Amino acid sequence: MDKNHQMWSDLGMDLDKHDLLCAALPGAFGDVFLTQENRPKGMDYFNMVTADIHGIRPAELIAAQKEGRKVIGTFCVFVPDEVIIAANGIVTGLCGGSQFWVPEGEKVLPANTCPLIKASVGARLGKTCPYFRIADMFVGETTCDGKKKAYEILSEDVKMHIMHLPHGKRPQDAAAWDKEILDFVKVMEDFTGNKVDIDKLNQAIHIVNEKRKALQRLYNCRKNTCVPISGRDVLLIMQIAFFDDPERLTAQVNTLCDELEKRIEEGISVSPKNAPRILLTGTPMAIPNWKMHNIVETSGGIVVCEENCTGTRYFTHTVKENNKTMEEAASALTERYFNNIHCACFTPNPERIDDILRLAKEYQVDGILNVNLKFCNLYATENYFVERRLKEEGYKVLSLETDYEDSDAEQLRTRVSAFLEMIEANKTN
Amino acid sequence: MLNYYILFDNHEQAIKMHRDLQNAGIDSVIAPTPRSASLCCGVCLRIKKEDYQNLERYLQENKAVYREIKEIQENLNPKRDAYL
Repeated sequence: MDKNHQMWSDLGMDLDKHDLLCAALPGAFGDVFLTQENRPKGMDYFNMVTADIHGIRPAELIAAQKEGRKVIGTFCVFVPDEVIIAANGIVTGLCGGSQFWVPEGEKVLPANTCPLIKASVGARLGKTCPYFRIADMFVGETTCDGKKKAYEILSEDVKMHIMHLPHGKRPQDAAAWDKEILDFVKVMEDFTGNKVDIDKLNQAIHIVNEKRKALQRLYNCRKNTCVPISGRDVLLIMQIAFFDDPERLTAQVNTLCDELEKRIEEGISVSPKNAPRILLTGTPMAIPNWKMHNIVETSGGIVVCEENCTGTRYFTHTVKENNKTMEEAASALTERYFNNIHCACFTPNPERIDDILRLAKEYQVDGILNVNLKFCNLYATENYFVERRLKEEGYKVLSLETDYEDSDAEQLRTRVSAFLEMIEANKTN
Repeated sequence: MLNYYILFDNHEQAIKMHRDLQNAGIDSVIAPTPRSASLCCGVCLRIKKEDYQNLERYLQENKAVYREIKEIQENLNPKRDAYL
């Protein structure tokens, strides 16, 4: 038995079923990534992480556990990584972006639950995700009804802590989130046995801020008329950012950005000059959900920005550093996480539309794809305001609903191609 | 399309050879190991057919650690829409 299989066996995984996923990865990755012309050399690191995504990083996490560190699995961008890092814990993302895990989730969840939730639960219960086997604790949040109830089911099987996110942005809501953060500090201290003092928290804030700055720098490269990297590649980087060691990821992204900035200087673009520039907004795209980006970019468009949780919401705005007290640090975290992540779970949520409009300008987009996962009621309903306002502002908008299945790909291709053709026709007129 | 895949026992070996080949001016891409090359998930190096002669020369002149090299007829298609 090779090292990976031994590790997966030790983790109690279902090896036969998991091998089916391993078998499918090279072909899907090859189709989406290795067929691209002129990819930046810096993508090799991210190729490597993806190629052995259930091997290399899980082995690192297990080694860290042997040294006494705790691994904490998180599902959502509202959970502050800084608190976990300050308690000498390790944050990891979790599986949830493939149809592979959905049927197992449907055994315990209603079929009309969003695929992200079904896949997450299915990955744990089906024993086919090493991250779901390794994590010592899972931190959920109350961002939607489906997740809240799914966490109750998961909590029968794993240790969970739930952060209660208020659904409005009144001052008392922000104060409540401050308190949630301070409670979370206590939970992490008790669980890890490590005291979180203000120095450790400030240091953790700095580490995560540096990662955010690197990702912002990466996104800045896409604002240029010369686009030095595809949307597919940036999506992959963002997906990996949830799993990788934050300092190593920061270094790798900055090295890649050196290359991309040089490409911009030299006019090296991965897309034709007139390719329609697309901003994608909506629900998150967890690894290995590459469907929409691949369809857009193999239909003549180029994705230049994502306003979603695997896009700008993950890194926009830094947290104030050098805080003097834990309370001050909690407020700084609240300012960044609570006041500046504009999720559809908030009511009202006009700031999200302001963000989309700002990004559309900054990234010089020609069209906006509003892509939501099936059965995500919050985003589907918010679409009423999003689409109306964007059209009022003169943007071409296409709203699509999809899941992780391949069966709608052809239909999506037809609709995306027509949308891109309409943009191109408008550009030439 | 015909490509060559260099297989390794671990990803550290792949990273080292990738760096060494880069220094020698030979293009290679880190990629997942195709199922037809090995049943084990893992990292390998993908070399285009036109770079293979340079690779052979490099391997004759340098000590490199790897498991084996496989010639693979690939049928990648960006519009296949067969996702995971």
